[in-house]
Amino acid sequence: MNILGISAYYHDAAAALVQDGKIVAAAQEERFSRRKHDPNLPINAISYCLAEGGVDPDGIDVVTFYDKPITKFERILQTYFSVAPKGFRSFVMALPIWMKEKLWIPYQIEGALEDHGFKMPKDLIFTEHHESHAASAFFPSPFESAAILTLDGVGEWATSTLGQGSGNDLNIIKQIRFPHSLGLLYSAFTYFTGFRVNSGEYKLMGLAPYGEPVYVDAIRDNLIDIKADGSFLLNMEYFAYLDGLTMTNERFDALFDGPPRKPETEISRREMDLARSIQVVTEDIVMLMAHEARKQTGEKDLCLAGGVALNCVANGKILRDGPFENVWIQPAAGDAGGALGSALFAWHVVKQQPRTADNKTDSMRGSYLGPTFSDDEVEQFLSAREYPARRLSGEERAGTIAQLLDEQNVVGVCQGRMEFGPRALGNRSILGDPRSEKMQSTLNLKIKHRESFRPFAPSCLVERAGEYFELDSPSPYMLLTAQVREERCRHDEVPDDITMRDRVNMVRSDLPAITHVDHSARVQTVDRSVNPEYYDIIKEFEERTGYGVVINTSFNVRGEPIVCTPEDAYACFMRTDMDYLAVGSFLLSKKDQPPWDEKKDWEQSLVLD
Amino acid sequence: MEDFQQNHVSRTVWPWMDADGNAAESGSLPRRAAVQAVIMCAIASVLFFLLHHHVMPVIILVLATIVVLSAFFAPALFHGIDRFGKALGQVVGIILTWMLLIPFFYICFTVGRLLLVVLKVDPMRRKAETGEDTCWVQHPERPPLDRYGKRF
Amino acid sequence: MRFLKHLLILLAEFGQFAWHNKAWWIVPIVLVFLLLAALLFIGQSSAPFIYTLF
Repeated sequence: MNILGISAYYHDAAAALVQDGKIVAAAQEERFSRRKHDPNLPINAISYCLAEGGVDPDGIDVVTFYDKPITKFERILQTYFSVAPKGFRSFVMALPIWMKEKLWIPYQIEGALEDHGFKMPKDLIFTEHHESHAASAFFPSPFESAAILTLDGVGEWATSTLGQGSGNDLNIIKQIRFPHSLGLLYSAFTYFTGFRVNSGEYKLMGLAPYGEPVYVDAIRDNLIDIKADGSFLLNMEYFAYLDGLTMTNERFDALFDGPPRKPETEISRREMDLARSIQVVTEDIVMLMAHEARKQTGEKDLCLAGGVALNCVANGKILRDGPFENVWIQPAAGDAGGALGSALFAWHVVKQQPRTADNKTDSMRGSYLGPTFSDDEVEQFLSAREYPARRLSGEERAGTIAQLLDEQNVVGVCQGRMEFGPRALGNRSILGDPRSEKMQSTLNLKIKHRESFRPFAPSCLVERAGEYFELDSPSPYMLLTAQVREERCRHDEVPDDITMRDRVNMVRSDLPAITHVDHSARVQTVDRSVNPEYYDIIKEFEERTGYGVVINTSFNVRGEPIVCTPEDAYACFMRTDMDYLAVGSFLLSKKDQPPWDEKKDWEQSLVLD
Repeated sequence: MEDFQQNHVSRTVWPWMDADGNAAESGSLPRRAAVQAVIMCAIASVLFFLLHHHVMPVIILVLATIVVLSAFFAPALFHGIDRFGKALGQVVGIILTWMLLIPFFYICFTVGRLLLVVLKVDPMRRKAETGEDTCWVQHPERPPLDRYGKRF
Repeated sequence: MRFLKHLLILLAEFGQFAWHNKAWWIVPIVLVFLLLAALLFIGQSSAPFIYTLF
């Protein structure tokens, strides 16, 4: 049975294909359309998934959609009943999209499938937004049974849910309802500190260690009433997302010493402290919820999904200090993962098909669920475009890349199947030497073209993780932070008048490029059985340098989706100061390439996040 | 490698070999122009025969002729006219959106809100001071499985 | 034809939603809303053909 899962029309549209219960393919539309967080019906991702699964024109058995549009529409209408006569501007922005698209989802899917030569099946399934998240968290997890927490902005009415999965069944037990939302609270601070809502949350988390939690009491006393069981109510007098086009209002400004920071202006001490404060509050809430989930379900393992589950600092805290033995987080925890969740929900719950779990391995296949390109094709492409490249044999490839890294080069890698979810896990990654003191700054400013405060993540041989980090379980999806081991750390005094850039460049450990200012790191552990090509590069690097760790940052520049095809990879390679590009078995040196005569204003087309 | 063929999956997501020969659109121009011209002729007929205008139908017919001829002989002009039409459609759409949604919003939602205020009902639970020990709400029981075929 | 089928399914589902949740208020709102959507669609898509009248 072929089940096609779709998420779309909010942000991060995606498609996934489940064949007889097996996850065959999944991808976000942005990777193909080259528009970051593309919310449109993911027709390119759908075409890819169907092609990858070898699905015949009349071979789709079920199409699933990741939320319930009519219930969501009702929530939006109820919101306007609650705020009118305020809210007109938001109404006039939101409603035309409902008129044109969101009320016509089956019609649009049917039209898109027929345009691409596929027959729309009779079976069209709509799962609840948080059911989709919960299914994406539990069904691919290694656990036979587990507690499930889903935390995000808002679905239909639910903003957080607590549930339990067992075998092929999944039940949501209780929920927190809109407008009280942990995701929207975090997004409010993202907006207020001058970052883009729905994509800048990561930056806020990265900024937090620079600040002090001085606003925690102000947040707790005024913005949110947190109960002992992790539930909460927001004080809506401080938020504008019900009736305006912004997240916060003047009362919020007054509480936090002035108006929101304007995007792209200098980040001040206030923003750092706000980032730290909201991070502390978020971690407290998530931890209380985890305890409540344990109490309610009695389970020893926990599954997490929803946008808030991308907060790897909070995830790391649950794993370290929380009540669960094991925590598994869906790598595509945001709305993209809803496509996969809805398809799995349809298979296991609606079609009542069995599920097997061995409590060890998950069924996400390392999240390498996107397209791959053969060496023959890469060779043909490079030769057609006359891009000089050297073909490396299987034995020399990893060693050559490791040598280039050791020689302080920055190497872009495009190999194997593309990752599903927001993190690059070694197949669409830019790699560097984590021992380098200058590498963080170099990568940020010369290659990624992004803010200098943002840290880079390490990829580490799974069996060596404990030697570098305070981590005693694998972190294959880069969704956990862990402290760099104390004996590797340096604790130099930070001068009061130091600039942010100088602070970034201070050496904090023997792995300075991946050690954040609080001596934490967002770790990816790499297992040879999951990704042998990537593992071998790190292993060779270890043999040369003694360090089984490399820097892994996503293969893109700020505002651009992660690259998908060798052509995307080549363009990104040429637009930046990257030194080498490894595409499949081919190695390209920047020095050998013909001049790249693209207009200098290509960056103008990107929407900065 | 001369006879290299992309595989089906790769061609679906990365049609780089077809990229240079993308002339698919040119053949469809005359057809699109014909459809536009027929609609414009229909409008001209209504104006002439039913509303007894004389100048306007002639102008429309002349424009319809230009549309058809440009599709065959001056694609750049056709695309220009097409872009103008689309931009106009967008402007009309924006104006109509505001014209229709302003009364809809203020009549429907403001009156609705007033009614709710009188009845002391608020669809949103706003205040933080509830005095309750928990803000978790029981999730509704799973509906019958056939409900998953519906959008609610 | 396909559109008509989907329109009827949409109306039926809104009706069932209203029945199931006793939310009858949504029915007139949706009907007016769809009417406005139709007007918008007609206005927007006919503009390119009748620009000479403006």
